[in-house]
Amino acid sequence: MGGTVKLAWRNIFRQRRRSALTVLSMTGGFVLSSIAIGWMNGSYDNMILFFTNSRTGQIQLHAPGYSDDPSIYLYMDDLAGIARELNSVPSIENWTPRVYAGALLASRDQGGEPGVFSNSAGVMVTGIDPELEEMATGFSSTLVSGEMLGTTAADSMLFAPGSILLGQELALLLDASPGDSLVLMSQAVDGASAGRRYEVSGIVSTGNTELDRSTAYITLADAQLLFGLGDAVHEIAVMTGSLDLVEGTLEDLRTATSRRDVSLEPWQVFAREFYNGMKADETSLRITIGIILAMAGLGVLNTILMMVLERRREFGVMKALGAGPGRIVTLIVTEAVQLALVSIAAGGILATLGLLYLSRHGMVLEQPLDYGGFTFSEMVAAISPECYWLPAVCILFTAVLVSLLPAVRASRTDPARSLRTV
Amino acid sequence: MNLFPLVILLVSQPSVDDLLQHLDELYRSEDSHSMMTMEVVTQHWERTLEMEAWSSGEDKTFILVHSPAREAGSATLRIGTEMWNYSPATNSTVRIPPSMMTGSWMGSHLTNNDIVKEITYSEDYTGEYLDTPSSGEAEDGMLYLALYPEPSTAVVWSRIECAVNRETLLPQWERYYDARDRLIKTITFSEVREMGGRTIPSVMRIQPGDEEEGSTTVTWEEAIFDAGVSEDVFSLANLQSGGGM
Repeated sequence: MGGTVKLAWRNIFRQRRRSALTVLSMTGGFVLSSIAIGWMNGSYDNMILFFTNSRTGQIQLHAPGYSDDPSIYLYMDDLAGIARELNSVPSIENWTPRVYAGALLASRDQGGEPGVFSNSAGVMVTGIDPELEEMATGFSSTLVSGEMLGTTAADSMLFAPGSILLGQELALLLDASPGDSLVLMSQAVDGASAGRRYEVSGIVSTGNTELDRSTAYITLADAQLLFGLGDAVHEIAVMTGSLDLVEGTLEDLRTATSRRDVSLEPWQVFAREFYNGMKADETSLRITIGIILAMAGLGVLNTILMMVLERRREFGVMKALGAGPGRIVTLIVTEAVQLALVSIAAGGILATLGLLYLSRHGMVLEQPLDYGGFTFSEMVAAISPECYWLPAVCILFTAVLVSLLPAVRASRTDPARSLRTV
Repeated sequence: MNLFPLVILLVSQPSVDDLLQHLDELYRSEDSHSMMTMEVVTQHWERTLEMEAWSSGEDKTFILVHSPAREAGSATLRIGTEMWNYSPATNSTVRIPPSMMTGSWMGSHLTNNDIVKEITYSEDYTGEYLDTPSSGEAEDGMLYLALYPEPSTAVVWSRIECAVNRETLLPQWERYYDARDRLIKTITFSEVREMGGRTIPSVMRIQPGDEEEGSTTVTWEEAIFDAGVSEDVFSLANLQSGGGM
């Protein structure tokens, strides 16, 4: 066996140009598929993190049934108690509570009567804790004009106008800008009518136009008072900071909140639309990677086939000198495997360089991707073990597979005929 | 006033058109002024509102809430298809946008559309007699009708079945069905009383098809018809001043 390996090496170096060609095609296949995989994983991981960090979090808590049919009546009591439990899970970086309620929001016509609010729109009022929301989602980065919500004293006295943030499209719809006076009408959870005057504090743009057309933000304390919710909330978004931590955090949270009737969901569940859209894209990218690998395999087949055909005379001589068919098959396959190993080593180095570059600089997409209302225009690569072992296994496997057929053919060479004709 | 057609109707089973005409006439008036209570029961809360209502012709309505104290002074003005709500807590009047017309009115099982839309059975529906209603047994002394909205009638239901008392020709119940034949809501009429010179049911109960959603019961305590209501009642100025003209 040692002899075969040595002989195979010698054969490889005897025909440097041909060997270099084979190595080149296999290395190319390795690098391309490795980068494609890294790019795919990296972009999706980044997109998921970006998407979840900007709003939804990686885990959400709701009252049971809320996700399927959101209703103001499905709330989680005792925010303070839940907060203690959340804070007991170390892998939670941030969390932020929210209240959601439908309402009618109206602004005055220019030059209209003082108390008459003719421009009205149905909105989703979102009550947020300004500090926690800022820490969790960096909400202030969405501010287009005006100021963010402060924790104002007006929260506790509904007679003074409160502060409200409007989504950009909603502000257009209501023809409202910071400083303008609005009136909100809705219904509290006890059935009583709920209303308050507001002054527009700022305009935000989350990048999700659907959301920005229908959402207004007030402080959590204000919303809880207005809708008669006490210290209850409808949603808590939890940020783990990394997708790898989601599963473990979910388990820890489940234990921490076990005595409560709350439902815990990871991002794959509550951001289903986003997740499915990405899965579909991932499938098509996997097919592309498959094609790249198949092309690399065809290149290997081509070069090895050429190599065998060119060396018919040589195999004839080997046979004439008493080499059995098994020896010749082993020799050719060993040569292919050695070439593949060289390619994998070279490809590994090149792919790492490429992946490192793409993970720093990313690639700007000509056609931005749109998931769940968020637009992604840059894709960044990430290095994972999958970037190496998957192309490596594929290249080795194809090298063995494609060399077997010509090897068997060569082993059947009739020494007398091949020596005569070639 | 309605005696002549009523006599004809009482003689034998009236034609569908005559009956629909009669049902339309029951509540129609030049103007009206009434006191009512509205009891809303939902899964989550119950409340009773005392209200005063004015109407003029078919297209103007003004409703003022007297109690509970927290809601007192809340008012709704409707002119044609436009609707405005006044809230004393914020001292402001808000126009209800078209997108909210299918929303609940004052938290009840009535939609804003129910308040705004004047339905004329004889014009907006075609009807036919039924031997039995599609659910339940036929009762003696009851006429059953199936009403189908005309193509121009924009409603979410595709059929109404109603029961009308054969003797009094007063409505007993109406059942609303959607295109898939599911019951959307049932309106039941009861407590026939003489009010403002008319003998009409004084209680109307709206029950959504899904009984878990609760129900709304409107009871007319008093009503006066055609006594002359000032047009000034139906103005934004009156709405802003808390009504009561």
